[in-house]
Amino acid sequence: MSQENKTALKFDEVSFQYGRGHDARPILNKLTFSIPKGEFVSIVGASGSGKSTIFRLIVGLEQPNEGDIYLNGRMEQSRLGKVGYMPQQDLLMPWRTIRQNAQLVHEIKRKRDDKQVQTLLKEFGLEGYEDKYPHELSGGMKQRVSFLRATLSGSDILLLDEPFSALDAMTKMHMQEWLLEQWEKQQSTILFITHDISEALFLSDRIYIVKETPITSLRSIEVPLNRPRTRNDLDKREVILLKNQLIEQFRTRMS
Amino acid sequence: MRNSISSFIFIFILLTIWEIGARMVDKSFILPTPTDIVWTLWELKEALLLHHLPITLSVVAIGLSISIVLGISLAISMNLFKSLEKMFYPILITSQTIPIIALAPIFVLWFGYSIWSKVVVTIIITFFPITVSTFDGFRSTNYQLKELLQSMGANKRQIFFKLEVPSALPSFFSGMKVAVPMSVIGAAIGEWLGAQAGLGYFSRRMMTQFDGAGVFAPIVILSLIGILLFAIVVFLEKLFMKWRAYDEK
Repeated sequence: MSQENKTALKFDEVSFQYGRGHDARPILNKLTFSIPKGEFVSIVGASGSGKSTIFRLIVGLEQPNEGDIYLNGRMEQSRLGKVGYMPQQDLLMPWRTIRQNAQLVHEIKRKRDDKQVQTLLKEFGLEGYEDKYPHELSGGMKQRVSFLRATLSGSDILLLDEPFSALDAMTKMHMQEWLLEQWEKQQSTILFITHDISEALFLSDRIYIVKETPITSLRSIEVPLNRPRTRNDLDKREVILLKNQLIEQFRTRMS
Repeated sequence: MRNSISSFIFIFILLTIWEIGARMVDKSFILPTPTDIVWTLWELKEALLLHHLPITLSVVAIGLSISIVLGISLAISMNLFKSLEKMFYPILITSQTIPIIALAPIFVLWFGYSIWSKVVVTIIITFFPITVSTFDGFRSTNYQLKELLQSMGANKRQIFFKLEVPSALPSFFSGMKVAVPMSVIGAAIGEWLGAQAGLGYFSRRMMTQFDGAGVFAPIVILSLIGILLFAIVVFLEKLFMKWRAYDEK
């Protein structure tokens, strides 16, 4: 296999700005990076640094002003519907039951696979809740439905935009472990936005750091941990050092 | 139900006061007693229910149906095209400052004593709440949900039916709850001003004959129609928005 076929996602000299002329706000400037297939990659950066814009570009809600975006080794002009996206809020439709919310992607793609939906509902621990409405579920469960919906998109690239930021600490820990389990089963590529460094260290193979806006490059850091991981691994010396180093880096930039 | 018991008691007290007061005044052509009205209702039941009621009901039905179709279409068009919104929305709002009752005689001039003069009054009076609330419902669509659907590859049609219509539904029903009682008022005003039959017309005829109870009897039926139509809207609302019923628990 060629190198191209092993990358799930590639940005090739991508530039993007909001607005035009004097009001232009450049966000990306000739940014190049790639993500290998099957990796769990986190993007960490201050809020407003343009992390979400990278997601909007990948999903296809925005088009780059310059440069190309490759999905699974192929340059894709129109990317809408080709990537699974899990937004910050769960964004479930309140008038649809859990099952109907999960099926939404299938409806839009005009395919039907009740069996797959049911299997995944069960696997995601949502059995018995299929006919409930979102407001009857806890925050963690709603996020699971939201992740299920992203999974059902059928894409092997999943974008998760700070999915656990609104959850309480205990639920968050639970969901992180659960997410790792699911990812190891699914063999998909996950791109995860967060501003929580511990979360990024615990989950990812690699962390990309957004240093400045406009983003010209991403600093790549490999997480020195093997899989499967436990939370105790975060107490290892090299991880703590790395974590402190990252926190320090953010602190100096803030002041 | 517990809430309605107190209002039933209150209504009963009011009716009793009315009954006693009217008996003391003893001018039944101006102030008939509630029992007078019920009695007249019973005496005139055939003329009222078999002759006049169907005519008023058809005005209400035709007027409301046209209003719903027009209102929804306009709300959808304004939602689709910003330019139409800019053109129609201010007109819609200002149209509400026109005293429709004062205009109604004009419609009688234009459409004569036919059913259409009353239908037009009904449409004008109910069109506004339906259009504006439906449109506001479309506008309340969650923008992030829309983008999420786009990210799934949804086309405009899918976004409309799967997201915008369900989002607009609660507001549409709120508008209907306002419009439905008003449609009865509209039909009655239309008939009052120029008609040869109908409950509004009957009420007015009794007025000229100084029959107080006869004026009130058709009004009682009119308000019952209003209550019934309102109940139907509430029923449909619950049917279409089952997910909301859970909220009330």
